[in-house]
Amino acid sequence: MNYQENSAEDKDLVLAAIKNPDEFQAIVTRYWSRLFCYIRRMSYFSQEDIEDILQEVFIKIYRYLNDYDTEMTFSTWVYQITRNATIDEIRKRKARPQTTWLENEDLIKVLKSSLNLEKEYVDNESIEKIKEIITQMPDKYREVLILRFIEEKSYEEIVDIVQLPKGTIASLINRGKKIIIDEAIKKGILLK
Amino acid sequence: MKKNPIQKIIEKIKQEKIVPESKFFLNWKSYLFWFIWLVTLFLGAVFFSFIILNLLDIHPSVIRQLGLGRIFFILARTAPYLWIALAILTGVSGFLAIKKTKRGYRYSILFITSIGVLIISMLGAFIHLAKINRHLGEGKMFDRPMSRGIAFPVEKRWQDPQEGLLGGEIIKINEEFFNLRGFNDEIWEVRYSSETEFKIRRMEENIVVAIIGEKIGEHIFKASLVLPPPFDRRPDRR
Repeated sequence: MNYQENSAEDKDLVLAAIKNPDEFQAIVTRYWSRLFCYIRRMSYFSQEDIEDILQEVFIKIYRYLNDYDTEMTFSTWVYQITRNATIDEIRKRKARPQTTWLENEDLIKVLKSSLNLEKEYVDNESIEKIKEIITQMPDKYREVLILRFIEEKSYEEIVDIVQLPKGTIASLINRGKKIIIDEAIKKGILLK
Repeated sequence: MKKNPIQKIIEKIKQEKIVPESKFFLNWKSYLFWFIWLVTLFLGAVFFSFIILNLLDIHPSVIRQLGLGRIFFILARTAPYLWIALAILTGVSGFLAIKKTKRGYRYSILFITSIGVLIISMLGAFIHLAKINRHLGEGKMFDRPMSRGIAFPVEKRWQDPQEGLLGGEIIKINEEFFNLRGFNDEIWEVRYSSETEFKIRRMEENIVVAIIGEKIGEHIFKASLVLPPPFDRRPDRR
């Protein structure tokens, strides 16, 4: 199913859910796993915590359904609400993620996109070092890199999710990539 | 058996009778910000048109005598508090209106500010061309003596002998000087000579003049340029 079909289907689901809450289940089912992974990548929360956040997120989405503006895709809108809820929760706990739940294949995606690696194989030691770099990097950079290279969102979608101007997003992505490159050189993953 | 979290959400919605809120309820803050911004834009434009009127009030000889830089400094120094407050309010409310509304985050601060300034300038110029500002300026609201608070700062501008600006009514004319009652009721001795340039039709008692010169003593002022009053707001003046 292509992007446009998905988007059109989302709009139909929204219209149906406004009339009947049972129809909202289709939206929840459709986005549950994606948003679960997204929150896990952004935070250090346990499965139970993420489920609690998602419950609040979906109830908020349901309450705000009339406010959904078709100028952006439903997926982007849902990510925007999820992102805000996750950041609120992180702030509430007054702690930044101690570790990330990024899978090795996620890390390789970021690594390849940032460093333009030609080789397919990245050894485990490098993966661990990259994980450390990404965990220690400021949230604002990690967040946009996750959205761009793991969630595979376009710049326009990231603008709407993170709610910052496009120039700022582009600059955050570039600086984030530079941090990874500089740290990777320091840690000996890359040669100058 | 542990419940499916997806089902739990649907059940919660049903049990707590949660319904999608109305669009107006969800957006009232946005609407309020837009409304405040529009009001301040309008007020900003009105006061911008007053600034235009103020600038046009300045006699060309004054510009020649003082220089543009000094004139702008004096204008800024004598701008009424209300104007300054409005300028700040317009800026802040404009920023909030655009930033806090749905798509506001897509625009940079520079873009938002430029749009605000552009709208105020265009609307202000329109108000000036339509002569609305002159009618407002003649209204009672702007004729009160609390000039620094709200009203036209023109008289205020001519109460600054330290900066070489003095205005008031000529009360007595002598050979080499005349006595002048300033706008704050202080009596000044204004000295003039053959070097003094007179831009008034005729020097006579009981007329109001504006003088550019130098304060040379306690309530003594040396005139280099004597002008007709710039604060004459008769509708047929221009």
